[in-house]
Amino acid sequence: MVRELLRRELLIAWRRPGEAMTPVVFFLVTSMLFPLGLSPEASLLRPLAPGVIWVVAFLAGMLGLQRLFRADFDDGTLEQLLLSPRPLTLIVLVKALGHWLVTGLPVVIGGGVVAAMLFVPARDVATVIAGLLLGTPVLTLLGTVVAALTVSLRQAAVLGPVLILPLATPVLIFGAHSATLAMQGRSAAQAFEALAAMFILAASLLPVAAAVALRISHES
Amino acid sequence: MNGLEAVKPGTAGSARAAAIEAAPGLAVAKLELWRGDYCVCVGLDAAAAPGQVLHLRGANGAGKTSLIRVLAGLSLPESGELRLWGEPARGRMTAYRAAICYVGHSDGIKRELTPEENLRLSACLVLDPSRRTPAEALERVGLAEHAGRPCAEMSAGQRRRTALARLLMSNAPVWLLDEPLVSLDRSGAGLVADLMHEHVAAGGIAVLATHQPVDLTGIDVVEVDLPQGGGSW
Repeated sequence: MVRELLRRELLIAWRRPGEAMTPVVFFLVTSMLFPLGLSPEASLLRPLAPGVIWVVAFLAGMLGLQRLFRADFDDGTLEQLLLSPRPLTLIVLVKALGHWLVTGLPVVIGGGVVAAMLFVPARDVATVIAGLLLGTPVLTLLGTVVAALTVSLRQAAVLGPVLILPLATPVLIFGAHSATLAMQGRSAAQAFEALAAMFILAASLLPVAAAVALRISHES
Repeated sequence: MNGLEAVKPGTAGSARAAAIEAAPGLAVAKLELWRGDYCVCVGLDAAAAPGQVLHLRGANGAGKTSLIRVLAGLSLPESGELRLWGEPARGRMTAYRAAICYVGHSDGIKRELTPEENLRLSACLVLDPSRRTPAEALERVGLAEHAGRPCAEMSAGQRRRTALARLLMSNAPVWLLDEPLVSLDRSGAGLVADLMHEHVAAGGIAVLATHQPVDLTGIDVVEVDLPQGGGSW
């Protein structure tokens, strides 16, 4: 079931490449505006790089969020998923994984490109990517809960980011901090431990919350 | 059976309530259901045994879809009980979901995927899949030639047939069909009737919500009439 569902998610994204590509294109284009708008000097951009990358990655994650359940809600396939005797938590987890593979992973890879563009030293680019690799799934999982809560609301485009922002700040802080520490030549281990803890908490608890939220928002 | 006809415990109604108690099929007891501030039914008792069709009738807006969503376990009624094989569904929702197959107002079909891919997913979402392959199910609903075409390119009626093919992918004994005839042509309506005849003959239960005529000759039909707008107060 897991394999078939994941295959379905990826297949739909593959047949609708425009929609799936939006977050990573947004991420790359918006990051490129910073050297243009501020100044293309390495001394200015380098210390800003971690913050820029993480804020833009967060915003890019918000972009694709509504896509997670809305399409399934509109065409009735969400009903079918809710009616399945299979555990809904697992279904939600697979959907979140599919969503991250389609929208999150390209941003992680793009993060390496942007880091190089913003003059992050080559040895620290890997740290940026590793941070994103741990942090973006947490953002996706938080987004899953919010998308599940707001799936039946028509005007949720603004509500989603507003709800998710306070929950996502720890990820943003530790994510950006991990890269900054590495660039200053200090150990980023503690920031990574915090990110890993958040990832484990999110992966174990948030799919349950999202499954409950889906049932509740479908009841009316 | 009138939705406003409340069953008072200990009076004449209790004989019917007792009959429903004993019915070993799908039953609702003393169901009270509101949609917003519109009352769909109060004290509704209805039951269908294996081999029977429960036909929900009512004008547009009478609450057929709301009621069938309750039967599907998608929404909760204000009060009342939903029973399957004499046991309350509450607290046993996984077993209940395994026993039903629901074709709702919206088809539940992914337009990016082909009918075959859609059905393959449906088959893996049920616990007790039928022995049919997606290709066989599609042939039965008359879509054999379109199995490999994205559903986005098909007509509404063809997508509806794909949704109906889902019924053939599971062995669920209870079918819940909400307006199955929408956008189907005459042969499609015949297909729905044929499928229901086969299902009921095999000892299944079907709940049908529609105001369009379906040929159910020879089937034991339990009619439930939802009053038109009469429940609002």
